[in-house]
Amino acid sequence: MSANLHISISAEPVFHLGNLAITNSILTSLIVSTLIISFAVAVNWSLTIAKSTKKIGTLQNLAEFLVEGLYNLIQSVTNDHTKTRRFMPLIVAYFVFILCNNWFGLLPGVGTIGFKEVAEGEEQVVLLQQDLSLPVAQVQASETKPLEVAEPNQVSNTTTEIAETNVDSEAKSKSPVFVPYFRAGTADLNTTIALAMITQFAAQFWGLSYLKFDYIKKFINFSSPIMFFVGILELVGEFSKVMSYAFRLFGNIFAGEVLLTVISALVPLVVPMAFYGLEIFVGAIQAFVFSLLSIIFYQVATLGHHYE
Amino acid sequence: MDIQLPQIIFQVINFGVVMGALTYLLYKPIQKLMDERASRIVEGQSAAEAALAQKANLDESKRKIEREAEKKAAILIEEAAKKATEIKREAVEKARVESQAETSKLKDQWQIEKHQLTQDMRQEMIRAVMTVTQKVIGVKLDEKTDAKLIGDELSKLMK
Repeated sequence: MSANLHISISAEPVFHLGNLAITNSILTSLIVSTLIISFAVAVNWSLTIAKSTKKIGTLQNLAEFLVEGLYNLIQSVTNDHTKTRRFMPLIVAYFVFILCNNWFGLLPGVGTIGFKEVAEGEEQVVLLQQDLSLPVAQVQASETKPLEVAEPNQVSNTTTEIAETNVDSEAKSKSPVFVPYFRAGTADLNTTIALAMITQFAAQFWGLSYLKFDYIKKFINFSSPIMFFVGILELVGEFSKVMSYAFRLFGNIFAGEVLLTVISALVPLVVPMAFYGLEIFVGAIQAFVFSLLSIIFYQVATLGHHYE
Repeated sequence: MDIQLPQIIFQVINFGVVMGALTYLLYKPIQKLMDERASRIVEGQSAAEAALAQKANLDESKRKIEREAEKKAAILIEEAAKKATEIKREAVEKARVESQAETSKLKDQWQIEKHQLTQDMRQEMIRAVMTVTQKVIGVKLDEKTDAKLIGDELSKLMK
Protein backbone atom coordinates (compact mmCIF):
# COMPACT_ATOMS: atom_id res chain seq x y z
CA MET A 1 0.00 0.00 0.00
CA SER A 2 1.37 3.41 -0.91
CA ALA A 3 2.30 5.81 1.79
CA ASN A 4 0.23 8.68 0.36
CA LEU A 5 -3.49 8.45 -0.17
CA HIS A 6 -3.68 10.46 -3.34
CA ILE A 7 -6.85 12.15 -4.55
CA SER A 8 -6.72 14.63 -7.39
CA ILE A 9 -9.68 16.91 -8.03
CA SER A 10 -8.90 17.02 -11.75
CA ALA A 11 -8.34 14.13 -14.12
CA GLU A 12 -4.68 13.28 -14.72
CA PRO A 13 -3.18 12.71 -18.17
CA VAL A 14 -2.24 9.12 -18.82
CA PHE A 15 -0.76 9.69 -22.28
CA HIS A 16 -0.90 12.23 -25.06
CA LEU A 17 -2.47 11.86 -28.50
CA GLY A 18 -0.89 14.72 -30.41
CA ASN A 19 -1.84 17.84 -28.51
CA LEU A 20 -4.74 16.17 -26.76
CA ALA A 21 -3.97 14.86 -23.30
CA ILE A 22 -5.81 11.60 -22.80
CA THR A 23 -6.73 11.71 -19.15
CA ASN A 24 -7.75 8.76 -17.05
CA SER A 25 -11.38 9.95 -17.15
CA ILE A 26 -11.33 10.14 -20.96
CA LEU A 27 -9.83 6.65 -21.06
CA THR A 28 -12.59 5.37 -18.78
CA SER A 29 -15.25 7.19 -20.83
CA LEU A 30 -13.92 5.54 -23.98
CA ILE A 31 -14.06 2.10 -22.38
CA VAL A 32 -17.57 2.78 -21.09
CA SER A 33 -18.63 4.06 -24.51
CA THR A 34 -17.25 0.90 -26.12
CA LEU A 35 -19.16 -1.24 -23.63
CA ILE A 36 -22.38 0.71 -24.23
CA ILE A 37 -22.01 0.39 -28.02
CA SER A 38 -21.28 -3.33 -27.60
CA PHE A 39 -24.43 -3.64 -25.51
CA ALA A 40 -26.43 -1.83 -28.20
CA VAL A 41 -24.99 -4.12 -30.89
CA ALA A 42 -25.78 -7.17 -28.75
CA VAL A 43 -29.36 -5.98 -28.23
CA ASN A 44 -29.75 -5.37 -31.96
CA TRP A 45 -28.41 -8.85 -32.68
CA SER A 46 -30.70 -10.33 -30.04
CA LEU A 47 -33.66 -8.56 -31.69
CA THR A 48 -32.72 -10.09 -35.05
CA ILE A 49 -32.53 -13.55 -33.47
CA ALA A 50 -35.79 -13.00 -31.60
CA LYS A 51 -37.58 -12.25 -34.89
CA SER A 52 -36.77 -15.70 -36.24
CA THR A 53 -36.98 -17.75 -33.02
CA LYS A 54 -39.89 -15.78 -31.48
CA LYS A 55 -38.11 -15.96 -28.12
CA ILE A 56 -37.32 -12.84 -26.12
CA GLY A 57 -33.84 -12.87 -24.59
CA THR A 58 -32.57 -11.30 -21.37
CA LEU A 59 -30.80 -8.49 -23.24
CA GLN A 60 -33.96 -7.58 -25.11
CA ASN A 61 -35.93 -7.61 -21.87
CA LEU A 62 -33.39 -5.31 -20.25
CA ALA A 63 -33.39 -2.94 -23.24
CA GLU A 64 -37.20 -2.89 -23.37
CA PHE A 65 -37.36 -2.21 -19.64
CA LEU A 66 -34.94 0.70 -20.05
CA VAL A 67 -36.62 2.22 -23.11
CA GLU A 68 -40.15 1.77 -21.79
CA GLY A 69 -39.24 3.17 -18.37
CA LEU A 70 -37.61 6.26 -19.84
CA TYR A 71 -40.42 6.69 -22.38
CA ASN A 72 -43.00 6.66 -19.59
CA LEU A 73 -40.89 9.08 -17.55
CA ILE A 74 -40.65 11.57 -20.43
CA GLN A 75 -44.30 11.09 -21.31
CA SER A 76 -45.30 11.85 -17.71
CA VAL A 77 -43.53 15.23 -18.04
CA THR A 78 -44.37 16.21 -21.62
CA ASN A 79 -47.78 14.56 -21.98
CA ASP A 80 -47.14 14.67 -25.73
CA HIS A 81 -46.03 11.58 -27.66
CA THR A 82 -44.40 13.58 -30.47
CA LYS A 83 -42.20 15.47 -28.02
CA THR A 84 -41.44 12.30 -26.09
CA ARG A 85 -40.22 10.60 -29.25
CA ARG A 86 -38.04 13.61 -30.08
CA PHE A 87 -36.46 13.76 -26.63
CA MET A 88 -36.02 10.01 -26.23
CA PRO A 89 -32.68 9.46 -28.04
CA LEU A 90 -30.90 12.11 -25.97
CA ILE A 91 -32.46 11.08 -22.68
CA VAL A 92 -31.68 7.38 -23.24
CA ALA A 93 -28.10 8.34 -24.06
CA TYR A 94 -27.74 10.61 -20.99
CA PHE A 95 -29.11 8.01 -18.66
CA VAL A 96 -27.07 5.08 -19.97
CA PHE A 97 -23.85 7.07 -20.39
CA ILE A 98 -23.98 8.69 -16.94
CA LEU A 99 -25.13 5.53 -15.16
CA CYS A 100 -22.41 3.40 -16.73
CA ASN A 101 -19.72 6.00 -16.05
CA ASN A 102 -20.86 6.40 -12.44
CA TRP A 103 -20.89 2.67 -11.81
CA PHE A 104 -17.69 2.01 -13.71
CA GLY A 105 -15.92 4.24 -11.17
CA LEU A 106 -16.92 1.77 -8.44
CA LEU A 107 -15.30 -1.24 -10.08
CA PRO A 108 -12.23 -2.68 -8.38
CA GLY A 109 -9.09 -1.36 -10.05
CA VAL A 110 -10.57 1.99 -11.01
CA GLY A 111 -8.58 4.56 -9.06
CA THR A 112 -6.30 1.95 -7.56
CA ILE A 113 -4.34 0.65 -10.54
CA GLY A 114 -1.97 3.20 -12.02
CA PHE A 115 1.57 4.44 -12.19
CA LYS A 116 3.76 6.90 -10.29
CA GLU A 117 4.70 10.20 -11.82
CA VAL A 118 6.79 13.09 -10.57
CA ALA A 119 4.41 15.99 -10.08
CA GLU A 120 5.36 19.26 -11.71
CA GLY A 121 3.99 21.60 -9.06
CA GLU A 122 0.34 21.38 -10.00
CA GLU A 123 -2.34 22.22 -7.50
CA GLN A 124 -3.47 19.00 -5.96
CA VAL A 125 -5.34 17.72 -2.98
CA VAL A 126 -3.35 15.01 -1.29
CA LEU A 127 -4.68 12.97 1.57
CA LEU A 128 -1.95 11.58 3.76
CA GLN A 129 -2.64 8.11 4.98
CA GLN A 130 -0.48 8.29 8.06
CA ASP A 131 -1.99 11.27 9.86
CA LEU A 132 -5.27 11.48 7.92
CA SER A 133 -5.45 15.26 8.29
CA LEU A 134 -7.99 15.81 5.53
CA PRO A 135 -7.71 17.63 3.22
CA VAL A 136 -4.13 18.83 2.97
CA ALA A 137 -3.40 21.16 0.08
CA GLN A 138 -0.10 20.75 -1.59
CA VAL A 139 0.58 24.13 -3.09
CA GLN A 140 2.95 25.00 -5.88
CA ALA A 141 6.59 24.55 -5.05
CA SER A 142 7.37 28.19 -5.79
CA GLU A 143 4.83 29.43 -3.30
CA THR A 144 6.08 30.13 0.22
CA LYS A 145 4.50 30.92 3.51
CA PRO A 146 3.86 34.65 4.03
CA LEU A 147 6.41 36.09 6.35
CA GLU A 148 5.15 36.97 9.72
CA VAL A 149 6.48 39.83 11.85
CA ALA A 150 8.93 38.28 14.20
CA GLU A 151 11.05 39.34 17.09
CA PRO A 152 14.69 40.13 16.12
CA ASN A 153 15.96 37.14 18.05
CA GLN A 154 13.53 34.88 16.25
CA VAL A 155 14.48 36.01 12.71
CA SER A 156 17.17 33.43 12.26
CA ASN A 157 14.79 30.68 13.42
CA THR A 158 12.02 31.89 11.09
CA THR A 159 14.39 32.03 8.13
CA THR A 160 15.41 28.48 8.87
CA GLU A 161 11.76 27.44 9.01
CA ILE A 162 11.02 29.13 5.68
CA ALA A 163 14.00 27.43 4.13
CA GLU A 164 12.87 24.08 5.48
CA THR A 165 9.36 24.70 4.20
CA ASN A 166 10.73 25.47 0.74
CA VAL A 167 12.84 22.37 0.77
CA ASP A 168 9.87 20.27 1.95
CA SER A 169 7.58 21.76 -0.67
CA GLU A 170 10.05 21.11 -3.46
CA ALA A 171 10.65 17.62 -2.20
CA LYS A 172 6.91 16.95 -2.02
CA SER A 173 6.20 18.48 -5.44
CA LYS A 174 8.91 16.36 -7.03
CA SER A 175 8.02 13.25 -5.09
CA PRO A 176 6.33 10.60 -7.22
CA VAL A 177 2.59 11.01 -7.35
CA PHE A 178 0.28 8.08 -7.98
CA VAL A 179 -1.73 8.46 -11.20
CA PRO A 180 -4.53 5.93 -11.68
CA TYR A 181 -5.18 4.62 -15.19
CA PHE A 182 -8.92 4.85 -14.71
CA ARG A 183 -11.19 7.42 -13.13
CA ALA A 184 -14.96 7.62 -13.39
CA GLY A 185 -15.82 9.72 -16.43
CA THR A 186 -18.35 11.74 -14.49
CA ALA A 187 -15.77 12.48 -11.78
CA ASP A 188 -14.11 14.82 -14.28
CA LEU A 189 -15.53 18.32 -14.64
CA ASN A 190 -14.76 18.38 -18.38
CA THR A 191 -17.12 15.45 -18.97
CA THR A 192 -19.94 16.93 -16.90
CA ILE A 193 -19.50 20.33 -18.59
CA ALA A 194 -19.67 18.60 -21.98
CA LEU A 195 -22.90 16.85 -20.96
CA ALA A 196 -24.39 20.04 -19.51
CA MET A 197 -23.50 21.96 -22.70
CA ILE A 198 -25.15 19.33 -24.89
CA THR A 199 -28.25 19.52 -22.69
CA GLN A 200 -28.46 23.29 -22.91
CA PHE A 201 -27.73 23.40 -26.67
CA ALA A 202 -30.48 20.85 -27.21
CA ALA A 203 -32.85 22.91 -25.02
CA GLN A 204 -32.12 26.03 -27.11
CA PHE A 205 -32.50 24.06 -30.35
CA TRP A 206 -35.87 22.64 -29.36
CA GLY A 207 -37.01 25.96 -27.94
CA LEU A 208 -36.27 27.62 -31.29
CA SER A 209 -37.76 24.82 -33.36
CA TYR A 210 -41.01 24.79 -31.34
CA LEU A 211 -41.52 28.48 -30.57
CA LYS A 212 -39.54 30.12 -33.43
CA PHE A 213 -39.19 33.84 -32.82
CA ASP A 214 -41.17 33.70 -29.56
CA TYR A 215 -38.30 31.82 -27.98
CA ILE A 216 -35.85 34.66 -28.69
CA LYS A 217 -38.33 37.09 -27.16
CA LYS A 218 -37.77 35.27 -23.91
CA PHE A 219 -34.22 36.72 -23.82
CA ILE A 220 -34.49 39.89 -25.88
CA ASN A 221 -37.64 41.75 -25.09
CA PHE A 222 -37.98 45.51 -25.54
CA SER A 223 -41.65 45.69 -24.61
CA SER A 224 -40.79 47.24 -21.22
CA PRO A 225 -37.65 47.91 -19.17
CA ILE A 226 -38.69 45.24 -16.70
CA MET A 227 -39.08 42.64 -19.44
CA PHE A 228 -35.71 43.65 -20.89
CA PHE A 229 -34.10 43.09 -17.50
CA VAL A 230 -35.95 39.80 -17.09
CA GLY A 231 -34.62 38.76 -20.51
CA ILE A 232 -31.04 39.44 -19.39
CA LEU A 233 -31.65 37.39 -16.25
CA GLU A 234 -33.04 34.57 -18.38
CA LEU A 235 -29.92 34.71 -20.55
CA VAL A 236 -27.64 34.57 -17.52
CA GLY A 237 -29.80 31.76 -16.18
CA GLU A 238 -29.16 29.66 -19.28
CA PHE A 239 -25.39 29.90 -18.75
CA SER A 240 -25.64 29.29 -15.03
CA LYS A 241 -27.69 26.17 -15.76
CA VAL A 242 -24.66 24.69 -17.53
CA MET A 243 -22.47 25.37 -14.52
CA SER A 244 -24.95 24.18 -11.91
CA TYR A 245 -25.72 21.12 -13.96
CA ALA A 246 -22.06 20.25 -14.48
CA PHE A 247 -21.03 20.88 -10.88
CA ARG A 248 -23.97 18.95 -9.43
CA LEU A 249 -23.03 15.75 -11.20
CA PHE A 250 -19.29 16.21 -10.79
CA GLY A 251 -19.63 17.11 -7.10
CA ASN A 252 -21.79 14.11 -6.27
CA ILE A 253 -19.64 11.57 -8.04
CA PHE A 254 -16.30 13.03 -6.99
CA ALA A 255 -17.49 13.31 -3.38
CA GLY A 256 -18.51 9.65 -3.54
CA GLU A 257 -15.05 8.67 -4.75
CA VAL A 258 -13.39 10.69 -1.97
CA LEU A 259 -15.71 9.14 0.59
CA LEU A 260 -14.92 5.62 -0.59
CA THR A 261 -11.17 6.29 -0.63
CA VAL A 262 -11.17 7.75 2.87
CA ILE A 263 -13.42 5.06 4.34
CA SER A 264 -11.34 2.33 2.68
CA ALA A 265 -8.20 3.87 4.19
CA LEU A 266 -9.73 4.18 7.66
CA VAL A 267 -11.44 0.77 7.84
CA PRO A 268 -10.38 -1.43 4.93
CA LEU A 269 -12.71 -4.34 5.70
CA VAL A 270 -16.52 -4.69 5.64
CA VAL A 271 -17.36 -1.03 6.36
CA PRO A 272 -16.66 0.22 2.80
CA MET A 273 -19.24 -2.26 1.51
CA ALA A 274 -22.05 -0.17 2.99
CA PHE A 275 -20.64 2.91 1.32
CA TYR A 276 -20.27 1.04 -1.98
CA GLY A 277 -23.97 0.23 -1.74
CA LEU A 278 -24.67 3.89 -1.10
CA GLU A 279 -22.55 4.93 -4.08
CA ILE A 280 -24.32 2.45 -6.36
CA PHE A 281 -27.55 4.11 -5.29
CA VAL A 282 -26.13 7.62 -5.69
CA GLY A 283 -24.80 6.74 -9.16
CA ALA A 284 -28.26 5.61 -10.29
CA ILE A 285 -29.97 8.57 -8.67
CA GLN A 286 -27.60 11.06 -10.28
CA ALA A 287 -28.16 9.54 -13.73
CA PHE A 288 -31.90 9.71 -13.11
CA VAL A 289 -31.75 13.30 -11.81
CA PHE A 290 -29.67 14.45 -14.78
CA SER A 291 -32.10 12.83 -17.24
CA LEU A 292 -35.17 14.14 -15.43
CA LEU A 293 -33.80 17.70 -15.26
CA SER A 294 -32.96 17.54 -18.97
CA ILE A 295 -36.53 16.51 -19.75
CA ILE A 296 -37.85 19.39 -17.64
CA PHE A 297 -35.48 21.88 -19.34
CA TYR A 298 -36.63 20.68 -22.77
CA GLN A 299 -40.26 20.83 -21.77
CA VAL A 300 -39.89 24.33 -20.33
CA ALA A 301 -37.97 25.46 -23.44
CA THR A 302 -40.70 24.20 -25.77
CA LEU A 303 -43.55 25.86 -23.88
CA GLY A 304 -44.49 29.47 -24.46
CA HIS A 305 -44.53 32.20 -21.81
CA HIS A 306 -48.21 31.68 -21.19
CA TYR A 307 -47.43 28.29 -19.66
CA GLU A 308 -44.88 29.64 -17.21
CA MET B 1 -9.60 21.84 -11.43
CA ASP B 2 -8.61 22.51 -14.96
CA ILE B 3 -11.29 22.97 -17.58
CA GLN B 4 -9.85 22.18 -20.97
CA LEU B 5 -11.74 22.87 -24.17
CA PRO B 6 -10.17 20.01 -26.20
CA GLN B 7 -11.24 17.53 -23.54
CA ILE B 8 -14.77 18.97 -23.48
CA ILE B 9 -14.97 18.71 -27.28
CA PHE B 10 -13.61 15.16 -27.10
CA GLN B 11 -16.30 14.22 -24.57
CA VAL B 12 -19.00 15.89 -26.69
CA ILE B 13 -17.90 13.81 -29.70
CA ASN B 14 -17.68 10.70 -27.54
CA PHE B 15 -21.18 11.26 -26.22
CA GLY B 16 -22.45 11.96 -29.74
CA VAL B 17 -21.09 8.64 -30.95
CA VAL B 18 -22.67 6.81 -28.01
CA MET B 19 -25.97 8.58 -28.61
CA GLY B 20 -25.93 7.71 -32.32
CA ALA B 21 -25.15 4.07 -31.59
CA LEU B 22 -27.82 3.84 -28.90
CA THR B 23 -30.38 5.53 -31.13
CA TYR B 24 -29.84 3.43 -34.25
CA LEU B 25 -28.94 0.12 -32.63
CA LEU B 26 -31.07 0.12 -29.50
CA TYR B 27 -33.72 2.81 -29.17
CA LYS B 28 -35.23 2.81 -32.69
CA PRO B 29 -35.47 -1.00 -33.10
CA ILE B 30 -36.89 -1.38 -29.59
CA GLN B 31 -39.34 1.48 -30.15
CA LYS B 32 -40.39 -0.07 -33.48
CA LEU B 33 -40.86 -3.44 -31.79
CA MET B 34 -42.89 -1.87 -28.99
CA ASP B 35 -45.03 0.07 -31.48
CA GLU B 36 -45.73 -3.14 -33.41
CA ARG B 37 -46.59 -4.89 -30.18
CA ALA B 38 -48.86 -2.03 -29.12
CA SER B 39 -50.67 -2.07 -32.48
CA ARG B 40 -51.02 -5.87 -32.20
CA ILE B 41 -52.49 -5.43 -28.72
CA VAL B 42 -54.92 -2.78 -30.01
CA GLU B 43 -55.89 -5.07 -32.91
CA GLY B 44 -56.30 -7.96 -30.51
CA GLN B 45 -58.44 -5.87 -28.20
CA SER B 46 -60.69 -4.71 -31.03
CA ALA B 47 -60.92 -8.28 -32.34
CA ALA B 48 -61.80 -9.48 -28.85
CA GLU B 49 -64.43 -6.77 -28.53
CA ALA B 50 -65.88 -7.75 -31.94
CA ALA B 51 -65.85 -11.41 -30.92
CA LEU B 52 -67.64 -10.53 -27.68
CA ALA B 53 -70.26 -8.55 -29.60
CA GLN B 54 -70.65 -11.46 -32.04
CA LYS B 55 -70.99 -13.85 -29.11
CA ALA B 56 -73.65 -11.64 -27.55
CA ASN B 57 -75.54 -11.64 -30.87
CA LEU B 58 -75.20 -15.40 -31.15
CA ASP B 59 -76.41 -15.83 -27.57
CA GLU B 60 -79.40 -13.62 -28.31
CA SER B 61 -80.26 -15.54 -31.49
CA LYS B 62 -79.72 -18.81 -29.62
CA ARG B 63 -82.14 -17.70 -26.91
CA LYS B 64 -84.61 -16.63 -29.62
CA ILE B 65 -84.34 -20.00 -31.38
CA GLU B 66 -84.72 -21.78 -28.05
CA ARG B 67 -87.87 -19.79 -27.26
CA GLU B 68 -89.32 -20.58 -30.71
CA ALA B 69 -88.39 -24.24 -30.36
CA GLU B 70 -90.03 -24.36 -26.94
CA LYS B 71 -93.21 -22.84 -28.40
CA LYS B 72 -93.20 -25.30 -31.32
CA ALA B 73 -92.52 -28.17 -28.97
CA ALA B 74 -95.43 -27.15 -26.76
CA ILE B 75 -97.73 -27.00 -29.79
CA LEU B 76 -96.48 -30.36 -31.02
CA ILE B 77 -96.92 -31.92 -27.58
CA GLU B 78 -100.44 -30.53 -27.37
CA GLU B 79 -101.27 -31.84 -30.86
CA ALA B 80 -99.73 -35.20 -30.07
CA ALA B 81 -101.72 -35.41 -26.85
CA LYS B 82 -104.90 -34.61 -28.74
CA LYS B 83 -104.06 -37.13 -31.40
CA ALA B 84 -103.21 -39.75 -28.79
CA THR B 85 -106.51 -39.14 -27.02
CA GLU B 86 -108.33 -39.49 -30.34
CA ILE B 87 -106.45 -42.66 -31.19
CA LYS B 88 -107.13 -44.04 -27.74
CA ARG B 89 -110.79 -43.21 -28.00
CA GLU B 90 -110.99 -44.79 -31.45
CA ALA B 91 -109.12 -47.86 -30.26
CA VAL B 92 -111.38 -48.24 -27.25
CA GLU B 93 -114.45 -47.81 -29.46
CA LYS B 94 -113.13 -50.30 -31.96
CA ALA B 95 -112.32 -52.76 -29.20
CA ARG B 96 -115.76 -52.29 -27.71
CA VAL B 97 -117.41 -52.89 -31.08
CA GLU B 98 -115.21 -55.87 -31.74
CA SER B 99 -115.86 -57.32 -28.31
CA GLN B 100 -119.60 -56.78 -28.73
CA ALA B 101 -119.46 -58.47 -32.10
CA GLU B 102 -117.42 -61.29 -30.66
CA THR B 103 -119.76 -61.59 -27.67
CA SER B 104 -122.81 -61.69 -29.91
CA LYS B 105 -121.11 -64.17 -32.19
CA LEU B 106 -120.19 -66.36 -29.25
CA LYS B 107 -123.71 -65.98 -27.87
CA ASP B 108 -125.16 -67.07 -31.19
CA GLN B 109 -122.76 -69.93 -31.39
CA TRP B 110 -123.58 -70.88 -27.84
CA GLN B 111 -127.32 -70.75 -28.64
CA ILE B 112 -126.75 -72.97 -31.64
CA GLU B 113 -124.64 -75.35 -29.65
CA LYS B 114 -127.17 -75.27 -26.82
CA HIS B 115 -129.97 -75.96 -29.24
CA GLN B 116 -127.96 -78.73 -30.82
CA LEU B 117 -127.17 -80.26 -27.48
CA THR B 118 -130.79 -79.98 -26.39
CA GLN B 119 -131.88 -81.73 -29.58
CA ASP B 120 -129.24 -84.41 -29.09
CA MET B 121 -130.22 -84.85 -25.51
CA ARG B 122 -133.89 -85.01 -26.47
CA GLN B 123 -133.25 -87.69 -29.06
CA GLU B 124 -131.19 -89.64 -26.59
CA MET B 125 -133.86 -89.32 -23.98
CA ILE B 126 -136.55 -90.39 -26.43
CA ARG B 127 -134.58 -93.42 -27.33
CA ALA B 128 -133.90 -94.19 -23.69
CA VAL B 129 -137.56 -93.72 -22.71
CA MET B 130 -138.68 -95.78 -25.64
CA THR B 131 -136.32 -98.52 -24.71
CA VAL B 132 -137.36 -98.44 -21.05
CA THR B 133 -141.08 -98.17 -21.91
CA GLN B 134 -140.76 -101.00 -24.35
CA LYS B 135 -139.13 -103.15 -21.75
CA VAL B 136 -141.64 -102.15 -19.03
CA ILE B 137 -144.86 -102.30 -20.96
CA GLY B 138 -143.65 -104.44 -23.79
CA VAL B 139 -145.29 -102.17 -26.30
CA LYS B 140 -143.44 -100.13 -28.74
CA LEU B 141 -144.59 -96.52 -28.77
CA ASP B 142 -144.43 -94.48 -31.87
CA GLU B 143 -141.97 -91.79 -32.19
CA LYS B 144 -144.51 -88.97 -32.31
CA THR B 145 -146.02 -89.87 -28.99
CA ASP B 146 -142.68 -90.38 -27.41
CA ALA B 147 -141.41 -87.14 -28.67
CA LYS B 148 -144.51 -85.31 -27.37
CA LEU B 149 -144.07 -86.87 -23.97
CA ILE B 150 -140.39 -86.26 -23.76
CA GLY B 151 -140.79 -82.75 -25.06
CA ASP B 152 -143.31 -81.95 -22.36
CA GLU B 153 -141.05 -83.36 -19.68
CA LEU B 154 -138.05 -81.53 -20.91
CA SER B 155 -139.98 -78.34 -21.06
CA LYS B 156 -140.91 -78.84 -17.44
CA LEU B 157 -137.29 -79.50 -16.59
CA MET B 158 -136.03 -76.54 -18.47
CA LYS B 159 -138.40 -74.29 -16.57
